[in-house]
Amino acid sequence: MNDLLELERVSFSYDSSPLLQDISFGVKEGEIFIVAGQCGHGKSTLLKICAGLLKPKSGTVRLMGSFLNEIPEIKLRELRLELGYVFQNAALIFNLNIFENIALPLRYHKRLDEETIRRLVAARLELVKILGYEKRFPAELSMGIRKHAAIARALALSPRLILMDEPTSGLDPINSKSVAELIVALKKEYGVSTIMVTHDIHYAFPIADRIGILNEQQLLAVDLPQRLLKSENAFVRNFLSGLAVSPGFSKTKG
Amino acid sequence: MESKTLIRFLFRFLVRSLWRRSNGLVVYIYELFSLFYESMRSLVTEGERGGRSAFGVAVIQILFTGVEALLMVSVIALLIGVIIIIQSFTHMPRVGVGDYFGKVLVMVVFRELGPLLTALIVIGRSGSAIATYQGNMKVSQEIEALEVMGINPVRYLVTPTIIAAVISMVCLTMYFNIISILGGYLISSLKIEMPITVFLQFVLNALTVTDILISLLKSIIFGIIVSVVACYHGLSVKISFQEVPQQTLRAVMNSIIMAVILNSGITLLFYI
Repeated sequence: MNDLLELERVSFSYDSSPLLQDISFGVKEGEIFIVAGQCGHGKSTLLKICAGLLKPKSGTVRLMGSFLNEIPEIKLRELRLELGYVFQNAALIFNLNIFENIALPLRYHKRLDEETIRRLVAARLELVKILGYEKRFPAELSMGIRKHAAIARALALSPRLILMDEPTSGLDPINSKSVAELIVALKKEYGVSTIMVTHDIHYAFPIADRIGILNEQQLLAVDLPQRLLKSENAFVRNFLSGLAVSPGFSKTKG
Repeated sequence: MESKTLIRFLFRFLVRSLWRRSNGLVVYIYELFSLFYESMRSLVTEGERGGRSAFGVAVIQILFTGVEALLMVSVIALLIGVIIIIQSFTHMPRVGVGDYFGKVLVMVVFRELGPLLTALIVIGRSGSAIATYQGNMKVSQEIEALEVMGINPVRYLVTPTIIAAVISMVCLTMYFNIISILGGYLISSLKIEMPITVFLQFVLNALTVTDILISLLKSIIFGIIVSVVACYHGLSVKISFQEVPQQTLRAVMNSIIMAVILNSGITLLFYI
């Protein structure tokens, strides 16, 4: 099966000191791929590179068969219709209510009548379990609801791949578990692939098909979750330590 | 010998800093033109895509820039008309040109103050608001959110803002001109009993099509300047909320300077 997204020896830096070096991985259709690592080690930057928001200093990014460094801006925008992105701070448009936020990509890209837009938005809201919040503005809502709304917006155009930046950070355990379950449901019911960057390994580990551990500019290991537990790398073992006693671990699994 | 070296050093320093500043100015103007070009080009390249969403943004901007500014424009325009007529009635008869007040009103309002003062009001109200709004959107990653949704931020935000600003500026300037003349009539009817038809006859005799066209031209150019400069500075914000007021201030100051310079330039071009 071809990779939906493939990074080949990607390096990046904001200034003279490198932030990411020689990062390579691929994500297949219907796969949940987790990039885990400590804060400030370039996880969000890596996700932005995947979406073409940042250009790597070297290496290539191939998204759905197109090399992002070779295609014009207009083609990149076309590709992004197959892509959903959930920002760490949700990044909802603050002067639009939740309904209009989710309807925005539909109104912009599709020629749909109001009734269809209403139906599609309601379906997304129901999927993320925040039906009833349509008329509220982002500033009136908790971060948990905002993140759910951001996921609903990312799903608006029925993407093949969703990129999630720390979707469980700042959420209570119930909301975190709900986000994790939603990612699994999207995979099972719609075949949506997900790349999630997080430091919250407790919720990520059980739902992941594969995990990559990012540390000191490099992906130390990319493997199946169970195999990573037996990794010979000291940092990987240290990072994953404590998982076995995590309350969410065995319950969320499967 | 030492003073000569010092003078040479100061001269070099002056030339270098002028060169650097003029280079910066050229780059700045080039970038403003690029943003304007990009926004107009997006009308062609994006076709109908995003038209409905952009139309909504334009309507909101017209309401804010145009409709909500009406009260402020009314007050200022009315008082400007009053001031001009008071000054005309006070000084012009002394030099034997008392009948020329209509000409003065048209010259000052239609040709100069109408477009310029309206531009200053729009810069103060809307230019600063546009820069602040887009700057905040940039910091809170809303612009990036638009990009990952496949939405061109220039098409969605900048193009409708420019169109709305031009429509609002043209309407507000014409409104300013009319209200000023009304203010002039009100004060002159208090001073001397003059029927409105006679007053309007004075004004219309003084008014030429060129005056109206130049007033229109100025308002279109000012509308473009205010919106492009505000959007440019708003979108220039990078990572911190602290940059937002700084960029807003730059947008306001640069818009004022450009509006005054261009106003003088157009006047020189057409009336000398």
